Amino acid sequence: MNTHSQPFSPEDPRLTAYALGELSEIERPAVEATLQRDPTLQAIVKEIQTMSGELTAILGAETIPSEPIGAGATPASVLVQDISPAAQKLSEFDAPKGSRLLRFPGLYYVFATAAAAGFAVLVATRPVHEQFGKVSKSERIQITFPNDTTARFEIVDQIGNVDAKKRPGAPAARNAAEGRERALPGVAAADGLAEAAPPVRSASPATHLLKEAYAHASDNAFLAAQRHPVSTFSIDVDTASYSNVRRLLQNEALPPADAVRIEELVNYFPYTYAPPLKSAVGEEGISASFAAHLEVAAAPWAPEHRLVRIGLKGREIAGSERGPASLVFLLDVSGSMSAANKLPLVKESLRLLLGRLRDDDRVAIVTYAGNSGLALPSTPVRRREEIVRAIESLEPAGATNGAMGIQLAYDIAKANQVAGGLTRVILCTDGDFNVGTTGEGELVRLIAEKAKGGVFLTVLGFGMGNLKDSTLELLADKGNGAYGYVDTRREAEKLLVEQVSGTLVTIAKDVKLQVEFNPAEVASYRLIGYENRLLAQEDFNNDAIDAGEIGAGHTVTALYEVVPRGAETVVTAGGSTDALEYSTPAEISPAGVASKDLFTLRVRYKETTGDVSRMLEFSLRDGGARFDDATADFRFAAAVASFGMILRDSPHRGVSSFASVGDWARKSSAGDPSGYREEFVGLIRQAARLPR
Amino acid sequence: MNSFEDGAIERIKASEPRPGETLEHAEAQATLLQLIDKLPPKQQDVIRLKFQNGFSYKEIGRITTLSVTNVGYLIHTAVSRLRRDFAALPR
Repeated sequence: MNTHSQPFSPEDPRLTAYALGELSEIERPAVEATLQRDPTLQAIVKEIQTMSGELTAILGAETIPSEPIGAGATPASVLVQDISPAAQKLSEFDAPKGSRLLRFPGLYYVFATAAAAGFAVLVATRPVHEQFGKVSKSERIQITFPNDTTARFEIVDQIGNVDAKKRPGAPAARNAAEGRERALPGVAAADGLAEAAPPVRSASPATHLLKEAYAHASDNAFLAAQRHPVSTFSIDVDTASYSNVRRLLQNEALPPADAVRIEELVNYFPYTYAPPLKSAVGEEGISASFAAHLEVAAAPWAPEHRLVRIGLKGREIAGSERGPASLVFLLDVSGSMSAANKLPLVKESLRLLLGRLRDDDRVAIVTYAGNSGLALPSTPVRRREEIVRAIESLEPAGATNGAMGIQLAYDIAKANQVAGGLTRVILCTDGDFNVGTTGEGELVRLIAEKAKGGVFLTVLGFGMGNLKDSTLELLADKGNGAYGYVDTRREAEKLLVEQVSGTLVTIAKDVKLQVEFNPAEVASYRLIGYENRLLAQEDFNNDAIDAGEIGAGHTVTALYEVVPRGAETVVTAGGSTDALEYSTPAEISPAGVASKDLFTLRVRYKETTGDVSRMLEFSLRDGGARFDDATADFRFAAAVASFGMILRDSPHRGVSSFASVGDWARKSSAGDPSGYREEFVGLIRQAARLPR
Repeated sequence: MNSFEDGAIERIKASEPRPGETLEHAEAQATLLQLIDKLPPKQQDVIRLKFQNGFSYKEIGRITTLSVTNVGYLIHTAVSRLRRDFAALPR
């Protein structure tokens, strides 16, 4: 392309692009060169910039209409018209002046012409994940398929559970495919969620797990402290594994080992670690984001070993203390979400959360299924009724298109970011995440990039049989958020009511722990859980490495099983290596010998808006406590970890059994206001009853 | 008079409003809004996306499923028209 003397008329769109800073690196030089020679064009660029300034000022000052969309309100600051079925009758497509259906302009034109003809034509095309309309049960819309019945059959199959096609032997799934209105057997009616919804039972407990996907990890092994003195990992506050295991056990199924992440079981429970003192001021005069609590006693499953408990407690935030929240709910409303423990439970969860938001918070709802759509533009919580109406009108239909939905949700989130507030996308799905041709990698990159811009992600999994646990955990991880699994209304309450601040407000991000063991005191050690959170030693000081986030009031617990020097056996010594040719093995320094410390703990974290990490350091000396002398929190955490090890059939579970675990748990369950510990004791009994 | 940096957008603010200038400005704003409303639908959409929501050409392309070139053309055409119509108004 000729970069010199390119005829440049004042009509060239590149002038505007240049004036607005939208030209690429490649195009800019040519345009700048031309401009330098031509004062007329320069004047035009200046005018464009003036007008641009005016437009920004005027449109920015437009107030948000107080009437709902579609009632003749000025659409000025509304990005997209509400397209939920309840808000729309076909006649409204003779739209009030100025209102627009921005999303998917193709569909707008289809509806517009169809409205004139008096009925809706849903165009079914071969790749069924494109262009589905929402069919509401309450509206009688005539559907005409231009294609033959084969295409129609595909669609009916798709609206229901995706499983139906693949597993003819699963009667529950087939029923869902055949009629959305027919509830799954044994479940409360789909349009109402009873207070205590009975768990959905499927005919054969094992087969319903067939479509669930869990990432594999083998238990961490013992490492010799002299060869590997440093252990580094990222914290994790996800709790999904525990509620998922609970769901499986209550459905009389033993969880697959990979579904059991011990750190998530332990972290599910609130512990009474003291929060950081407001008066405690650290380096640079900044008060602490969290406090650390260390404890060590005998490991109950291997009494000659020591168990180290590291606890972090994030600082609490009162509801009124946080900045205004701008939330975007990204909801899977595909056909597979029609089960009672899915979309109805999602709606219940949203209503619960709405009850905990302030009037100055904002909520938007984006759905992804067939068409991704904006079911509710960003609306201040002050207008609660509108939000509730939008939630009520959500209906399951269509096949999933996760990638498009996520883009839209993040666009809306960015458009409604509030300075000094928090912005979050909350994804609710059963995990059936069809990302189409984009692929998981692309999606993960997008989410990670958005997280850098301050839009964090919370992932809530629902339902069963289709739970893509591994995908959901990965998304939450990269999106700087937590992953929770909601199996019951009670769990929704825990996450979105009791712990709403923790769920919404991140107080520290990229939190990493590094433990340096003293080989003079420690023969070997084993980190219990956190298998998919391990980091290299160098990653600790590398701020570019992503790690987990702590929400307000969250507790994080990590357990190490430690073999003291002298107590090691062949099995627990941490393996053997050949002698080195070119260097001598690491020596214990005199400082190590002199110190009686078991280890030094370093914690690195970043403030929510910041990219430089801070570090805290603690050390611990072993006082030789017996297990029975330890605090209730310690003993309960140990019981939970043991339980996890048994479920995983871990080679390190020592002498623990369901009976002994139950004993330890019962003895440490006093003062359990929310009943979580009691529930856990019940789960142990349940697990013990199941055939192995 | 402020000097513009390359590609930068600056809001125009009068340093000291003369008496009556505030009213003029408000009227001008209202007029400009009316002119925006008269734009063809697609041009209105992209203008709002660009200047009200602050999206880039690329993001607008994704939201509207138009090509980036098309977006650039629409914005250019709309801004040109607004400039002309606004300047042509009787004062």
